[in-house]
Parts: sequence; C-alpha cells; structure tokens
Amino acid sequence: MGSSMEILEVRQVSKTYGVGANQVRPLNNVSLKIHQGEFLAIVGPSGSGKTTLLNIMSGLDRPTEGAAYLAGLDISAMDGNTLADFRRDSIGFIFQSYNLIPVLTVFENIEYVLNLQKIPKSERRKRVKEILETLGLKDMESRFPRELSGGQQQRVAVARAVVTEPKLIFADEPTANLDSTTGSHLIQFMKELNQTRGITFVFSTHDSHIMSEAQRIVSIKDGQILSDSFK
Amino acid sequence: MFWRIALRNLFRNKRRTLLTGLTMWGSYILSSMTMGLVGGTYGFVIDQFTRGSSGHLQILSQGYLDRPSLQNSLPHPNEISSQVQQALGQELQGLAPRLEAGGLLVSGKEVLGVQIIAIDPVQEKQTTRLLQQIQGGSPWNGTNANNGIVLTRDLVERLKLTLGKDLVLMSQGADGSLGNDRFKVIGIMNEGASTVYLNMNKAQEFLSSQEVATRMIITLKDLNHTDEALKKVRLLFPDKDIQPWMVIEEEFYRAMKSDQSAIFLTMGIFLFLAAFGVLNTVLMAILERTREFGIMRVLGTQDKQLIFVIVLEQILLSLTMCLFGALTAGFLNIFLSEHGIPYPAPIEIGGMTLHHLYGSLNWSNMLYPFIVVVCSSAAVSLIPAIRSARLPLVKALGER
Ligand SMILES: Nc1ncnc2c1ncn2[C@@H]1O[C@H](COP(=O)(O)OP(=O)(O)OP(=O)(O)O)[C@@H](O)[C@H]1O
Ligand SMILES: [Mg+2]
Repeated sequence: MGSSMEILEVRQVSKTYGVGANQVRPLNNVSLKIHQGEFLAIVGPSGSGKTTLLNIMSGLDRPTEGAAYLAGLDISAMDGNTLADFRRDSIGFIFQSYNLIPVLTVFENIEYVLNLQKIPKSERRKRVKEILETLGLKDMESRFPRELSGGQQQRVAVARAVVTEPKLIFADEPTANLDSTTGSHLIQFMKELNQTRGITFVFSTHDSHIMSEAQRIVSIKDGQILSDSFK
Repeated sequence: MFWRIALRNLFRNKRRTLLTGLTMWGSYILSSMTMGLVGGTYGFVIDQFTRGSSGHLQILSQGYLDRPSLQNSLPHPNEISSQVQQALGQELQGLAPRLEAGGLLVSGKEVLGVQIIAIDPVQEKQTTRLLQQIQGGSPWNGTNANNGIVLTRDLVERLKLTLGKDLVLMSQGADGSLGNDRFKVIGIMNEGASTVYLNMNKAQEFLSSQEVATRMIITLKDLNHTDEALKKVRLLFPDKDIQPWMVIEEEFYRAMKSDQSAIFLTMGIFLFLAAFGVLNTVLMAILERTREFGIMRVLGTQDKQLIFVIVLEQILLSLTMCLFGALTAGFLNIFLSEHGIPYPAPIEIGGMTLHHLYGSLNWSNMLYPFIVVVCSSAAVSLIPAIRSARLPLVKALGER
C-alpha cells in the first residue's frame, strides 16, 4: 500500500498465564508492525493466540514481556484511566458477540462514546444519523438490541466503532456468530469504511471468505507468527 | 446518559428491583416507626415526669446544686418571674418558686430529719402537678393556710400520724436563728420519702427568708423547646445557674437514655440485616452485568463514571422507596401519635405504667431513616461497583 505511516507496533511480546507446570504461553515473542490504512486479518486455529494478541495490541491486556506502541505511545505503560481515554478517542472495537449495551437503543448505543467525549448534542445527532444512514440502520434507531437480529446488532457495533472516526478498529472474529451472507456483507461494510475513510482494520478470523478480502494476512500458531503475507 | 442507564437498569429485572426496593421501604418504615414510637412514648413519659415536679428548667443560684443552702438563695423571686414571663412569652406554661431547707420533725417521742420544701400553691398549680399528688383535699386553705403541713406517705406511716394531727417542726433560718413551730397535717404526698411541704408565705417567715426562693421551676408548653428556652433564660440571668431537667433529674435522664439506646441497638441490628439482604441482591445484579460494564470500560468509560452509574442506580431506587416509606411511615406516625397502640401487657417506664405506646412525627424521625437507608444502599453498591471498575478488562469481558 501507498501509506507507510506506522500506526501500531508490538515488539517481542509474550504473554504467560499460570506458574510452573501449569504455565501456558499463548504468545511467544511476537513482533509486528501495522501501517495506517491496512486491512489486516490475523488467522490461525483455535487457541493459537489471536484474541490474546488483539487484546494486547488494543490495550485491553498487558503483555508479560515486550511492549505495544499505538501511534507512537507505549500503551503497555499507560495507567487505566489514560488508557480509557485513549481507547475512547482513538480506537474502535467490534466483538464476536456484538456487546451492545442492552438498556440503550440503537441510537443511544452509537451515541455513547460521543457522549463520553462530551461532544455537543446537535453534533452528536448529526454524526449518529449519518452513520445510521451509511449502514442502513435508519429505521432501527429507536430499537433496543434485543429487538435486532445478530447481523443488525453487529452492524450497530460497527457503527458504534466508526462514529468517533478512530484511526484504528479492532475486530475479534466479527463474523463468527453470523451466517456467511450476513458475514460477507459486514466485511463489505468494513472494507468500504477502510477505503473511504482510511480507517485501519485489524481483525481475527477463522472465515476463509474474510481472509480472501484481507489485504494482509498474518497467520499465527502456538503463539508465534507463522507467515505474514500482503496481497 | 449515565442517569438513563442507571434508571433503565432498574427496570431490567423488575422482580429483583421490587425485592430490593421493598427491603429499603421496609427498613425506612421500621426505623421511622421505631424512632416515632420511642420518641412518642418516652416523650410522653418524660413529659409526665417533668410536669410532676421538676419542671423543664430550673433557675438556681450559682453553686446551689452542689451545696444547697438557704444562704445561697435567689432574692426577689417575683422579679425573676416577671422577667422570665416576658422572655418566654407564649412558650411558658408556668413558673413557681420553691424554698428548701433541712429540718427536724418532732412527733411525740420521735425526731426525724426531713427536707422542707415550701411551695406557692397558686403558682405551683399552674406549673406542675405536684399538688395533684397530695391526698386529702386542697391544702393550705382557710384556717390551715399557714400552719398546714403536707407529709409524704412514708413519713406518715413511720410516725403513725393521720390527717389533722399536730406536730412540731424545727429548723435553722437563713440568719442562723433557730425556729420551731407547731403544724397540722393537712395532706399526704404519695411520692417521696422524708420530705415535708409548707406554704411559701409561712415558710419564708419560719426560715427568716423573706422575699427569697432557692429554686424557680419553669415548665414550657412544649417539652421539646427546652433547649431554646434554656438559651433564652441563660441569656437573661448570666450570673445564675440555669439547668434543664436532664441535669436536675440526671438519674432519670440516664435511665431514659439507656432504655432508648437498647431499643435503637436492636433497630440497628435489624437494619444491618436488611442491608445485608440488599447487598446480596445488588451483588447479584452487578456480577451478572460484569461483561456489560467491561464493554462500557472498553469504550472509554472511566472508573469513576462506571462506579457512578452503578451506585446511582441504588441511590435512585432507595430515594424512591424512601419517599414511599416517608408517606407510609408519616401517616402511621401521625395516626399513632393521636391514638397510640394498646400494649398487651402494661409496661413500666421511669416509674410510670403505660397501657399505650405513642407515636410521634418530627423531622428527625423522617430524615434520619432517609439518610440511613440511602447511605447504606449507596455503600452496599459501592463495594461491588469498585470491584467492577478495578477488574482487569480481559477478565470482565471473559465473564458472561
Ligand atoms: N486467562 C487465561 N488463563 C489461562 N490461559 C488462557 C487465558 N486466556 C487464554 N488462555 C489460553 O491462551 C491460549 C490462546 O488463547 P486465545 O483466546 O488467544 O486463542 P484464540 O486464537 O483467540 O482462539 P479462538 O479462535 O478459539 O478464539 C489458549 O490456549 C487459551 O487456553
Ligand atoms: Mg479468540
């Protein structure tokens, strides 16, 4: 890709759980650089360490060894509240199980982070409306998550991740709970946002269809990078 | 937004919210009613007791309480009277002088040391119920106005006297002179041990203490105004010793206090148990949503914001339930202050036998339960709230 601005780097990251004979090491000395605008898939068998790696890259978890740098900042050294602000302002998250806030409507779920950012009401409305339109969720804005299908919920989750215009969105198996048609629609949305807004996407997947859409595939096994290929 | 989340969370598990809410409601009513009944019943007992003899306030000469003596008396009781009347105005029920001294009672071959208390029957009647406790008609009337004496039942029995009998009383006057005089038994006082009562006019002459009193007894229309009245009277006579009934009748006051603290302790234990019940349901509600709170944190919600949302939920609930509680308990307290509830077995408090318990309604028995219930609800949710905010994110997201 043209852009070579580095947005994320993990340097010799390892993660260990437990002690002695019970010790497990889901990540073993992993180093990776990700550039602005990439659409990157992390693939590997179940238990290979995909989630662990994503969590460390996004600042949800801390590495046992090594460090993670997001936009040049060492996130493994940040305290909880600084990290919370950093996530709020610079990162979007999409999860396998949608994870919308059940007591908030579609509109309010998308508005939530803008609210945390203390963006004025009229501006919030404008941005939420716009993203609802883009993702074809206009008619559902006052519904609660339980009144939506899985695919619709995941689209709301994408809208929530995108609305703050983050530099980077992490998605841990975003299509695993969806049927293949809904899943590939969702990937199309994500790809569109990647191309039109230049948002960097880092996602993990088992899904061969998604893998084929990715522009870079990092394959891991037993906590180590097996291959790293660009299209 | 946080308010919206907190409020909507309350309606998620309606049964649980109802259960928690009812516990809060019950706790409020329990504490408010206990306070109301204790306040009402003890208030009733204290009122009866103080109006019996001690009054609500007393004016004394400095040092008199420690060393009672005729030499240390209050001059011009009438002047003190009119000043107090002016200062207290409508609040004042009555005000009466008393003159006290030691004496010897001689009857036949028996000689007994007694406490002499002289009262002004007219003023005493407006002030306390002392006269009503005297058996044998209205004393100090007509021919007996001067030489009538009232003895306690105890003395009458010890000296084997009856109404109409004569006896001799001896005492030392304020000027040091020894006086003795013949008196006629005209009444029997039901309470007390070695005390005799004389008419004020006669006693002042007998004790060479014209125009003086040793105490001024003040009763107010409302016992609860004692503290304010005390301040006013103290301002009026900075050089005198003004004491409320709590000091004058210290033993009685302490007995009342310790009785009440026992009741409040029991109430405290009940409240503690109730708080424990609330803790249980709140804990469940919060643990169940660990993942959801984790998501809120992932999205950038700060620790203190998350704690706020969680605690706010319980505060909103407890505020609402307290309002309902206030309505219910307020109504019950008013009803009970007017009608009382019959108590199955008569109870004795402070030497008084009661067949009814009385309620009372005032700011403190509405406000304190409010504070207690709301604060403990907040405290109970604070612990799991802090846990939710401190839990490592990966763990929070992993829990379902
Ligand atoms: N908290 C933990 N304690 C102990 N072991 C853990 C913990 N979290 C993860 N692991 C282990 O780390 C390894 C990697 O887990 P991870 O969730 O990263 O795999 P994954 O590639 O995301 O798998 P999947 O495709 O099933 O989601 C697994 O063997 C898992 O059992
Ligand atoms: Mg995983």
